[in-house]
Amino acid sequence: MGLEEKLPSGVLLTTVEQVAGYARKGSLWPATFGLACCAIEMMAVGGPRYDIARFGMEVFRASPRQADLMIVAGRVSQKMAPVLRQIYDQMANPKWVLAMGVCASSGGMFNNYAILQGVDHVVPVDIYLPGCPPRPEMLIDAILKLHDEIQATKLGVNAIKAQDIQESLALTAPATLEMRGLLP
Amino acid sequence: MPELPTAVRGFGVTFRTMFKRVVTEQYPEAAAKYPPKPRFHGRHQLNRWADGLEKCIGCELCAWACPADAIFVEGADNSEGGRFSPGERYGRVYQINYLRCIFCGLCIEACPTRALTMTNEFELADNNRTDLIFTKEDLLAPLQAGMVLPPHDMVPGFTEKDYYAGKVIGATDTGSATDTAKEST
Amino acid sequence: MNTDLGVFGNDPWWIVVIKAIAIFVVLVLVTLFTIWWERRVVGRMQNRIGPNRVGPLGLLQSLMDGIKLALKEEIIPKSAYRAVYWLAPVISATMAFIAFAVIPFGPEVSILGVMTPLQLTDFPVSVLYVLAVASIGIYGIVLAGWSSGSTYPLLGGLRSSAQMISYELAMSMSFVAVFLYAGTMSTSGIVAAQEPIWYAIILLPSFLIYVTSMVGETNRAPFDLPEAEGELVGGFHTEYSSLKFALFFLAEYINMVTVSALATTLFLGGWRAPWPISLWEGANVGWWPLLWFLVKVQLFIFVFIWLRGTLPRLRYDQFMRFGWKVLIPVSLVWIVVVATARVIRNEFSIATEDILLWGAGLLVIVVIGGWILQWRSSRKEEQAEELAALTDDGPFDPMAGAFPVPPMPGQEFTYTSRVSQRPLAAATVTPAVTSGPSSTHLPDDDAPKESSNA
Repeated sequence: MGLEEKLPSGVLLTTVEQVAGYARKGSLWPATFGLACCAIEMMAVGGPRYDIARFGMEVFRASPRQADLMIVAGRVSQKMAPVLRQIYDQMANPKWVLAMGVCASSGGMFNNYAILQGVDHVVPVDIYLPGCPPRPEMLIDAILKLHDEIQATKLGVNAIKAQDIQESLALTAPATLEMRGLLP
Repeated sequence: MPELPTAVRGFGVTFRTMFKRVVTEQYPEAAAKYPPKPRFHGRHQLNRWADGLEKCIGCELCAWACPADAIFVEGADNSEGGRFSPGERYGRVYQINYLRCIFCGLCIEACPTRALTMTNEFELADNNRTDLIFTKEDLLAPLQAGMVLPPHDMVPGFTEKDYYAGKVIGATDTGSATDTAKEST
Repeated sequence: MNTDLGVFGNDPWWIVVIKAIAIFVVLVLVTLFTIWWERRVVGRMQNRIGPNRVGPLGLLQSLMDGIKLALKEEIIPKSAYRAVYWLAPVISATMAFIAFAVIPFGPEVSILGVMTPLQLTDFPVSVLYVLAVASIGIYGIVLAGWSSGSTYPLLGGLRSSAQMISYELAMSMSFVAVFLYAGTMSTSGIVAAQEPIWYAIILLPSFLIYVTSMVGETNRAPFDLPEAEGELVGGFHTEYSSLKFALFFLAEYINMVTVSALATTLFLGGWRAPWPISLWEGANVGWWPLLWFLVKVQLFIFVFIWLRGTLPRLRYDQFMRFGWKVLIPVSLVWIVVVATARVIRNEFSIATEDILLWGAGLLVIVVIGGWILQWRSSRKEEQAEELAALTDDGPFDPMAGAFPVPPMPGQEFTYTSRVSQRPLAAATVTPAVTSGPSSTHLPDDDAPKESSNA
């Protein structure tokens, strides 16, 4: 609603943060959005053997307005990219994106002109999940890691502080060109 | 007697299923069932010889075999006092980009020294791209008992052919390897 | 069947407030419980567990859904008609709540020393009031669809209005039989009139029609066409997010509880204890009836969940055909039958129970007879088909039309192609042609030879 963002910092805010994080991670509704083979594994996660419903996530919302999590399950073609971005824009904040599988994460083995080389070119990705396609357990693992991040999400002034810290870190971080590792 | 209509029988199916045992494997808790089958293709591992020297010779065959261009290898020459693997060359830079790797295992088939194998580890998800490029430190197998961290010399009296023939069965067994290593470092 | 409404309307104001708040709290709690219960039960029906992480056994799941929805961003589309867009979920939710005002939870009890019935209020036409309020609730859905300024919600809203009109007709007609028997439209009066026997038993067709139409009325599977996500994304609530969507969510589940409570009141004897328990003296006094009432409501809710777990969604034309061509004619005929029975009782003073006993017996005979007849005729058809198949001329020729065709019913497929399968083909050849190995149809068999075989 926005009220939680206006609280003064202190015990109240941290308590609200805890409750909000718990509620958000406890009821993370994914958008019904499957693109390719990874979507089959995503459906398997909804099935009886893995049962994503345990985390309250079987509510795959057809309308992006009510979804919290976009699982980009599969390769994103250049033609699909604007559609994906539109769905992301239609989702209500707070929203998260999970790049499932290597194609969504970086283009994977489809290093060609037709496939978007990573969905983070169009939407901010919160968690990357390798695998081709990832096992259902891998998806659950990624979702659980995302749950931890959601639980730790800050609100209000704390969120602004966290953003500042992140920004300063990003400003001092070496550019990709400078990250050469062992290369001369 | 005529059978009940199928529409009605369907209700029986769902009602009966309610009292059946659920088939769900509760993934994070029931971790005893995991990792999956031993043949599962998980994260890669760069193996070591029994004395701790690396098996990778930096030949880049894995990188050439990779259909997704996920592997980057840069070899370098072993030098006296700076020996990482038996023989002439070693892999100085070894990176696997797990955002590209499709876990097909072609790199494993291509590897001439069994340096590269796959583990069953699959909990790889991360929140940034950089951390998912695994470097040599992340991929190298941990030192087992008796292994010594390279660089160090080959076991005295052994050539790389003996290594490839599997004659080196451990630094402790050959006796002098640990001492040699200590001297060299 | 004395319907004494004198006990209502005399409560002190604070009792009314307590009752109103209690109804609100009970409805919200029941909704929270029902959402969790539905997800668990559907999970079990699909061989899985269902929500079990948030709170003990996942019981806090629906609460967390609510908190999360409240904390989400509120999106109002630019093309939306803002006032109506805002009003629609409010209409939906409030109407769902106030319909519960006339539902009797129990008999007279003492609340803080004041004897008062466990019912907020009652009046001579309270069932009509429920119907009216339920219809206004539909306005919420229709207006939501219209005001969203988007195509899919509009289609969902229109579907919803058509669905409501069709199914509310059948629903109200199923009530008519109850009114004829109870002689009153007040809910407490109907409960009192069911003291000898439940209307679900003597008015079974009405009960079945009501149970069917109440599913259509609440937009629940398999009649959840206004929000069919396969066709309409989210239906009328496609554009809704945050608390407004939560209100629709709440309204849907409260409506479920409301129609279940109405079904309990009108057909299952309301708060009266079911038969074996009703032998106990204290079953229908004090606070116990509240328990019987909630158990019966829960029974209906289970039926809702069961339906959802079992049946796929109907196609829209099937759904409308079912409403207009089955439910409404059947209920019309049934009302005529019930009215006739009432007239016979009044004119010839024959006990209703006798008429209904005979009527029910007749009905059972007709149903079973029809069933058996149908079975026998279908058997005959099957036999005729089998006979026709046996006397069918010629063997099956998969290449008869110069391209491969599948066998018709009664025809047997014979292998035709490869040399290695020739003995097999000879063995499975139909009795009509056992003339010799030439009857196995090799691909190189030409057409004239075929016809000579036949």
